[in-house]
Amino acid sequence: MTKSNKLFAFLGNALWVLNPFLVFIVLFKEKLTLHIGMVWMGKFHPLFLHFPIVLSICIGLYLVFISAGKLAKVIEQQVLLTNAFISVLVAITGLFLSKENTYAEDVLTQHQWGGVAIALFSWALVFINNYFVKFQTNKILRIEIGIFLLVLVIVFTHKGAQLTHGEDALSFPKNTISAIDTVAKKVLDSTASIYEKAVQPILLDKCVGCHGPNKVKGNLLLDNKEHILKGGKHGSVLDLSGTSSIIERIHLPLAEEKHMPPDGKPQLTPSEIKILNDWISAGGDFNKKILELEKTDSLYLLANSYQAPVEKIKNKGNAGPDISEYNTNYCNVQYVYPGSSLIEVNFFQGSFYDREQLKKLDKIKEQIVSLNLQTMPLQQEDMAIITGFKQLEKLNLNYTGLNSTSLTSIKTLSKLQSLSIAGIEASVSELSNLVKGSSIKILHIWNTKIKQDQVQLIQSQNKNLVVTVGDNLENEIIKIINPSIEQDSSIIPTHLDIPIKHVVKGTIVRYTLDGTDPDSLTSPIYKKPIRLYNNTVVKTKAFKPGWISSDIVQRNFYKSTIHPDSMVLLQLPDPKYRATGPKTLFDYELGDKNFGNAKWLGYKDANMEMVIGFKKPTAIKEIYFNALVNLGSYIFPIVSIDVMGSMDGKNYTLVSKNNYPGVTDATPKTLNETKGFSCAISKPTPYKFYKLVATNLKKLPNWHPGKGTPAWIFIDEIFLN
Amino acid sequence: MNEFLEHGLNQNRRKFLSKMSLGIGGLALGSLVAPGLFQGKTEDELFANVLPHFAPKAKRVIYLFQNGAPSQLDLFDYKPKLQSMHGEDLPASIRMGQRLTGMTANQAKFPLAGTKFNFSQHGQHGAWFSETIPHIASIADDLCIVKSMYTEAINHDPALTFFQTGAQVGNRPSMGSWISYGLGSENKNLPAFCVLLSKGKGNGQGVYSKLWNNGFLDSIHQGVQFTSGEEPVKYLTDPSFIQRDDKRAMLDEIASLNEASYKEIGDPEIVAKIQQYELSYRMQMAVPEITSLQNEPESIVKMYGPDCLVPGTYAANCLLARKLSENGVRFVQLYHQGWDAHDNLPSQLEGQCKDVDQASAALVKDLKQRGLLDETLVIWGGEFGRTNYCQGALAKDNYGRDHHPRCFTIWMAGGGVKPGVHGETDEFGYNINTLPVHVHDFHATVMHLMGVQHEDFTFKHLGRRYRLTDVAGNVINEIIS
Repeated sequence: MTKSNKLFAFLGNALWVLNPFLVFIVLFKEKLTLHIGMVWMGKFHPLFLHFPIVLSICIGLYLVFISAGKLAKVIEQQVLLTNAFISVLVAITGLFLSKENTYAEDVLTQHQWGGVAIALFSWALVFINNYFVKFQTNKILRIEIGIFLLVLVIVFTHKGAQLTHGEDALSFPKNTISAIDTVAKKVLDSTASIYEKAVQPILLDKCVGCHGPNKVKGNLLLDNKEHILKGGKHGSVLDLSGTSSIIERIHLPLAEEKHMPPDGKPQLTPSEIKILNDWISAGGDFNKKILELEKTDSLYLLANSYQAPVEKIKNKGNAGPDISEYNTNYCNVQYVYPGSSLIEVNFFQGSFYDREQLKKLDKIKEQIVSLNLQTMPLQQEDMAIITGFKQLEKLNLNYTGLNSTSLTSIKTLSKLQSLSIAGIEASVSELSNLVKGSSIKILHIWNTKIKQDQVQLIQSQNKNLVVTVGDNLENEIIKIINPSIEQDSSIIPTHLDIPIKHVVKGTIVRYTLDGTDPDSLTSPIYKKPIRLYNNTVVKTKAFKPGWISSDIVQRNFYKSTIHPDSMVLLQLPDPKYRATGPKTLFDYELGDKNFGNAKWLGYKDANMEMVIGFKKPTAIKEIYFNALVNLGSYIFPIVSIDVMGSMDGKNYTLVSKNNYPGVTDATPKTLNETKGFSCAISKPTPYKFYKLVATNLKKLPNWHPGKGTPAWIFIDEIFLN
Repeated sequence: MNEFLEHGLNQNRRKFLSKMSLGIGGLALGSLVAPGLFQGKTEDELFANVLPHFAPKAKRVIYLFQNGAPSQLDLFDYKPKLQSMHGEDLPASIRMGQRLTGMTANQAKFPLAGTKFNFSQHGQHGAWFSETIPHIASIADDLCIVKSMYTEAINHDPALTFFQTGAQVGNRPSMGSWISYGLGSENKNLPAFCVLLSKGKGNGQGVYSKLWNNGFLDSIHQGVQFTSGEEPVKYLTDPSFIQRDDKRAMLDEIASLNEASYKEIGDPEIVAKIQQYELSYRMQMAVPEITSLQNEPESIVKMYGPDCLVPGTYAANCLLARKLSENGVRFVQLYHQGWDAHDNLPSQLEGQCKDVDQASAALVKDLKQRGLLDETLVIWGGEFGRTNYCQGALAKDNYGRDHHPRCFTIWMAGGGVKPGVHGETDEFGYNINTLPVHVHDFHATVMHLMGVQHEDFTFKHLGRRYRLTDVAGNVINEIIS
């Protein structure tokens, strides 16, 4: 084998590697991550590409004009192999290059697939020439394939030329300046027509991409006056007799198929929608000057302040330029939605505010449309940075500690629509100065000490302004909430401290211990926990100037000095409500109204009967039953309590008998409260045993919805003194 | 033609295979250039740069869930016909044999119960409100009242679960979890999904963590419950002897161990755990600053009612919800228990309204006056409605109402909804006459307002793609401004 044969065998093998590789990387182009060496290889694409163009054209011409056998088969194969090899290399380097730079998507796609096709077809030619017998004999076939190769090469390499040298790379030079250039070069003020100043820039920015000379969707061009008037395949777009399809489509919800611009393309901003809408509704006059409009006309304000986008921000599908570097834990910077070039910024937690963070945003200030700085501790220096964000449409400065003089510079934000300055002190004149002639539509001034009638003054001067004041409740008088007694226990063993709490600052809490209602003058003011030694009713009430005083909060505290040594229930409670047996009644823990909480003994249709015992004979002055009354749950008050004493546990003498008033038809059916039943023992005598009997009403009275059915009694604690 | 050419055609198997092996080498080379190709897309990557699908109208949601189902007939859906036919039997032509709960299905009669309360019209849309909710009536012009909600479930648990997760069985992620998963948190120091509970005096139904569960999503998306009391987030505060620096060092150490075991096992829950530790570390600083209600101006206290300073009340939760929301929490979910008035409805309802009326309205007003209402969606409603007939004995001014899934009222405010009244029920308040809104539709609409195309927002689990709206749901464009 000669050296050259070796070389071409190698080329042949290399093609088997490189072509599948090419197909692979073109299919998964989006996923490629390029090694630095590949990036460098990509740069050779413009250098290499001329070789296969020349070679392919030569081969094409050879096939068309020269019949088979003029050149030795070996030579033909060598040329074809070389061509296929260079073609595939060029295609691969081209792909690498395209990953690095950004090009017009459509042209790029055509060029890329064209390049792949050329590479693959060149490879195929090697086999066709070698194995396809007909190809050697059939002249027509040779000419056809030759022409095909020529067309392929010329068309798709031209696409590449367009990428690097512009879309008009090889087209005949024009001597007219395109509409786009005119607009960009003119400096426009309010003497311009509405169309020139605002409408056309919007159309060029958001519509002409698809309705322009490069791409004519729906047969509609929106690039200049003549084309707009001509309309599209659905007829006129400015048709004022019916509805203009422009107005209709820009207002459709995004999800609608007919919505324009289509979902995924940069959307019109609300003010752009308004400009288009107002201009068309007002007749779509191409010549009307902005000056001819009323100064207060919203179209005047919008059109006059409209600025064509300074720099078109490139949108490559979903991935806008990475803005993650601006994000911190206390500052959130994000696109309004993926694919949008507009950015909104939120700062959180004033104690972590960092001015440097705000300064950093300067780099993307042309894209920031919304900035939220509420509760950040801002100063004049911050304001100077903020006013550099000229594209701002929404600004929140609530409770930023700024003063009204630093607000004046907000006026320079010519696109600002919504401003919130709640909690910033500002005078009426300062505010009306701020909004006068500005673009602000909505102003939130809650808690700026501005009164309702003053707001009307501001509003009367600015017709299109909406001012949100919020409620001014300073003079409203409402009731203050109750103080709370923060002591869980209600039992006084020897003594008990009672803390009282109130959550509203500046509230005066007064209390009484003698059962009278606290008043705002004479009752003692609560300062420190109250120490109790005996049965006491604590009543407390909160007072605050400018507020209605609270309800009285009452709690009973019980002295319990004697604890029995033994206790036995003679009558067992209902199995569902037996808590922890008789000791529940002497555990110093009161149950609340939730009688199912295992702190209550419940008796249905039966009396409570128990015996308590002492090791040494003990004299008792008072026995106090804490019981529940809950008519809705058939729990009735105790009817009577008998106390009997005994020294031997067999023979009892009655020492106290007490009857209690029951409830009547007049009692509210919703009554639900704990109630004390006290038995005083007039002649306290020491006994070793006491028998206690609390009588149940047994049958519910006729006025109760459950008449005739058994009644309940519930007892949670018995105090002995 | 000649043997030379014939020879060229002798492509044998060995030749072919040896050439093909070169081609496979080429492919292998290609796979080196695209390293992530054969891993498949993780769900996170799917949505990382896609959501929101379009410019959102609402950035945050505050959902005031009235747990137990408030009676639409005594609050919003005014039916004079029921008052004039008070005590008469519900016509079979209206009921049409539709199913009832076991609690009233066996009633011999279904006596219609007209509301006991006076109704009046408020706002430019002339919406009706009962006298029990004067504060909510006062913000009528900000409300989008949907009178034609309906659901499929007839009992509390499935209905609640349906509203929260889009399915009646409880294994799906909650709405807030979906939002957290799709849109993430704005403020990195707070969870994206917070839950606040309160309880009224009325007949209550349970709330349980299943309702704010992350389902099959990463557990970082689970709702974080804020409790009343000194410590709003349980187990957040360190013991006093742990210094912040020590904590940092400890977390770093744990994270390195966790990372090592993640590399070994690859369980995504480990990553979630690391994130949760970090979040809680940042929350330790953020939560006390945000949950402190003491520094609210007096006018705010007056607006929400002084109850707002008592932790654990609905009013306090509304105020806290505003503070969380304005600090970038995507989804704040409140539950207020006690609306399940099977009997004694008038007195129970009055008590519940006293709890929620002022604070609900105050929340909307408060957001509005700060300029936040247009980007915050407030939702107020229960899991279903209540029947137009009385459960149990009907008195002149006392009645109870059973569960009614076929029509009920919810309202929304801010966040891109259009104020007004949507839908209408029949004159008996039993069936929907116009513009019905299913729970799936409601979910689709809320998602839409948040900039999410509900049909394109899915999570693959157990071999199929799930979404909040299951396989249904239409965006109700009429209520979007």
